[in-house]
Amino acid sequence: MAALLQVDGLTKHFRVGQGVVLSRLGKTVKAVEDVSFAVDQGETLGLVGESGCGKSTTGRCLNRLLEPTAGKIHFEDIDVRKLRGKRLKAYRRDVQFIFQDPYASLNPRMTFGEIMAEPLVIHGIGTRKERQDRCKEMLQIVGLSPEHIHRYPHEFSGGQRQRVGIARALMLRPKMIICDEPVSALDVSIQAQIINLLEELQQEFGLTYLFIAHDLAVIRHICDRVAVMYLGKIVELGGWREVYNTPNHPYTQSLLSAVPVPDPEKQRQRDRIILRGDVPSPIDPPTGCRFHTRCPIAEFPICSDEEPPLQEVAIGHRAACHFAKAFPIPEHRMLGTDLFAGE
Amino acid sequence: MEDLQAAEQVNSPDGAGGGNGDSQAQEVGGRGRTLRGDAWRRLRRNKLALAGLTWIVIIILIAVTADLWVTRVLGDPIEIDTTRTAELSLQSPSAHHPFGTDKLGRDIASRVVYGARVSLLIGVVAVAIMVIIGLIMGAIAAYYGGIWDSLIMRTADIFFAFPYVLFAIALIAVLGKGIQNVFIAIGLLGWPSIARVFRSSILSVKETEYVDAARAMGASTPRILFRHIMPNAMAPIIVYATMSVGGAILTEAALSFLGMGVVPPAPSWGGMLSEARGYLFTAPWLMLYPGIAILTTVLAFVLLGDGLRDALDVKLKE
Amino acid sequence: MPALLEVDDLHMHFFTRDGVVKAVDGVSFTLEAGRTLGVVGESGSGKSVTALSIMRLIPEPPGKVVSGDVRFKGESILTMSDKEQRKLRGNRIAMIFQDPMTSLNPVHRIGKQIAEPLRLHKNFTRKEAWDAAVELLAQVGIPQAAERARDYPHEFSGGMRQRAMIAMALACGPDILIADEPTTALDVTIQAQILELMQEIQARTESAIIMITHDLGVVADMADHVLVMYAGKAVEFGPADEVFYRPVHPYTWGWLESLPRHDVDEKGLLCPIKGQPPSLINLPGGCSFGPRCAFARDSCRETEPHLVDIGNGHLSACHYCGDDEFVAQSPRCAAGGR
Repeated sequence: MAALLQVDGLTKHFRVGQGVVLSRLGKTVKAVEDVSFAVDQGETLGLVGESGCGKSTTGRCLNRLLEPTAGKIHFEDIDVRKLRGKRLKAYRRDVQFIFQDPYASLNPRMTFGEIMAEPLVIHGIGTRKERQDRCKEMLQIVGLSPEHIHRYPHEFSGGQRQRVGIARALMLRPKMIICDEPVSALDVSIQAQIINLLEELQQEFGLTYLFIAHDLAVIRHICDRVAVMYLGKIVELGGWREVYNTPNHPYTQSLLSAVPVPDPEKQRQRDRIILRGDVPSPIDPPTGCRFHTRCPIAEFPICSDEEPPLQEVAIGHRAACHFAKAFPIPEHRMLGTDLFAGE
Repeated sequence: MEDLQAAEQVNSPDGAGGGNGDSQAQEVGGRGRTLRGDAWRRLRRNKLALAGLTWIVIIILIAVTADLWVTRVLGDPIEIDTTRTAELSLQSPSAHHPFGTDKLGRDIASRVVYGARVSLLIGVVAVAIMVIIGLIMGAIAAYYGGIWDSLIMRTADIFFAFPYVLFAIALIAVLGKGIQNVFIAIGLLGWPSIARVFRSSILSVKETEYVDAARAMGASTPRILFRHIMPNAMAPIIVYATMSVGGAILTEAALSFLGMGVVPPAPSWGGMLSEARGYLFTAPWLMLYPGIAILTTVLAFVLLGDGLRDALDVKLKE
Repeated sequence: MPALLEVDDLHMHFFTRDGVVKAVDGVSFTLEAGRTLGVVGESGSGKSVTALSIMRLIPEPPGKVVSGDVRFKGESILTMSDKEQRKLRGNRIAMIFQDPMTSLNPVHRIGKQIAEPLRLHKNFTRKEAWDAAVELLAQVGIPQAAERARDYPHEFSGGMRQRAMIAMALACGPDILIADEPTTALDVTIQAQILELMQEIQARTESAIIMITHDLGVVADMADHVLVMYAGKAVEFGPADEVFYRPVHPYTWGWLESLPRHDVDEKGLLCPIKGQPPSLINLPGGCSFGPRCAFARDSCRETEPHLVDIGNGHLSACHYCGDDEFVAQSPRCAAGGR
């Protein structure tokens, strides 16, 4: 069965430099480089990584908020990059977006009702009354009172605004939603509420999610499969159990070991892999394997000369490391025990 | 302080966002509190801005109703009673002529009131011209960017390079004197500032997530421009336009003072100042009252503009 | 011998046009040398304001310490003169802020900023201070410190800027280092570096650390003692093991339970705390957490609880924290909440 979304070799470069002249001479930020993955109907694929890894950029290329520089995107076997005009608009009914910042993603001069009705207006769906009814219904589904239709965003908290953002994304009954850090800007006690809401909605409406986040615990909880990104490339891709319990790529291992868990005893026992140095600039990424400058097990010259392909290390589990095939990882290569404090 | 502000954006380019202001959700019952309502409330609290607004309203009322009462109460601003000129001229302020009379025996108070009409008219029309041109230019520069942006902004820079009043005089010399040409001149010279302000306002709104959200829904470019960008980009323009009215009045006064603006005998504050030149010490009221009129009116607009800026600027709850 | 730092029932209110914001409304704790105190809470809980109050960095008006005391080595900070307070700041008590980009002055070189406290408090000459600054940069792990000291803040990455801030805070060898969300704006791998650095420094200098954060993981990693804050009040305080493994306050329960698990294989819905944090101007009557508490009883609406000692250095502000039956109620929820 073909995947709902198929991405092959997605690449996005940005020119740096202002003005007509400078941007021609300037450097390029290689934000996303040759990224490939597939998302099946009904599943949640997580894109996780630190800042500058390209996860948000990838998400935005998928619904053409940004235009990819190269690569193929197929949604239900339709070439997304070739869509124009009406067909692009129709695509946007099927693939919606939830934004990170609940304070910036809602137009402050529109009421909740207007914000939620807008997708319907744009696509010419329903009469005014029908739209209003649908808005009220949707407000209830996301846990708010239908009277709030006439109110403005600034009267509400971040969590409530994010609920409206989610409601807005649902109005067109999309097949897939790209969630770009939907809970990162929220208070801890509200994050759990919103995560639950997203999961319940997924069940109720049969949604497929591409979930972009930097919080490893949230990703582990909500995702079926996980893709770990570093400096524009996917370094590991697999089911959540595989990636979290038996991470193959050294970056994934370091990342997992770096996340502190709320368990003092575990924290005392854990081996932490501390990466040296900072993330290199995407303008000038390292040659060969982009992670080699910080990698604890890098070997030269292979790691600095050749880029490792994303290769199978187990069924449905791939990693982009020259030493990936040596799995289970032999003792002397194992970077640490108890990496994500799981057993 | 993080704990006080409901909306902190911890969205730094370095990555991880933190727990954020969910704590001050004030749910006001009943009808929504509009942004305009909030802004008005904030403006009301600013005493200086309110004073400015009040003064402007008073001036407008006086100017608009002038025909009804001024000539009867104070005397005609233009008519000269040639038989009694010597007797009437240069009288110091009295009950009959509260601001005194000028050298041709005309009542100064009446001339100040009619001069207000001129000033307000020029202020409003000149600013309207400059705003319309500026909005269009700024919108094109911001939305299309690239070569249009460079062309328009560099043209604006050229305008900025010239000394304003000199440029105005040159323009009037070309167009001729008279009130229409004054507001054309001021409007033509003023659009670059508005364009610049509007352009940067649009650019910042363009980058917001709600514009992205509109695009992600399939909104067309015109819809995004008119429904999302314009309403949110207008705030700085309102402020700038208000303050520009004050500036326009000042420019008109300068031009009329130099004899390049409103043609006598039509009263104009600048013109009156010009006429007062020889009488500074002998008949100070000739200069005093028009001068105060200019000062207070311009100040009123500036204070109001300032107050509007504070009232409109705070997008977040305090 | 008095504790290094003692905060005694501190109440710091802000008197604004819209009402009195009770930002800190009853916080008490002690801090010993060489120890780390983790202050956790969500935004609006008052944790930052508490720290700023200790440093007397809250502008007064509109802020005002309504009651309570803060004592450093037995001496009350709140009654000190301005001059004496300034002698403490940056010298004996130093602070690191959340966003290193805005807390470093963009127009001065890094070296100069680190040297500043030394020139101010220890009367170093410019050369001595600069050399010391380079040394400090090296100690916080900046490579090629001598050259990097000549850089401006925008030339440093986020992690490096935070290291520079730490160097600046450490310059005069303070007794207490207050870190206000120092790693919130940083990536996880950089956060690990910074936390490790702080622990290393603490081992070397024996300074006490107050770590303010909303991340329970960071607290579990760093803290010897934990203070949980909610709506301006201290709701639970105790050694880290006590608070994490034997919490007695329903808010702590709720918070720990709402986190996505890192170790279970089965995934169900999360157990969030229902409702939202209250407005600090209109606090609910009785217990501030009452409206959201799954275990609230009538008395919770009527009277405000105060911190009660339940043994083992463990305190909690709940009417029933001493009641074994109440505490034994399992916080595991039956179904996910919204």
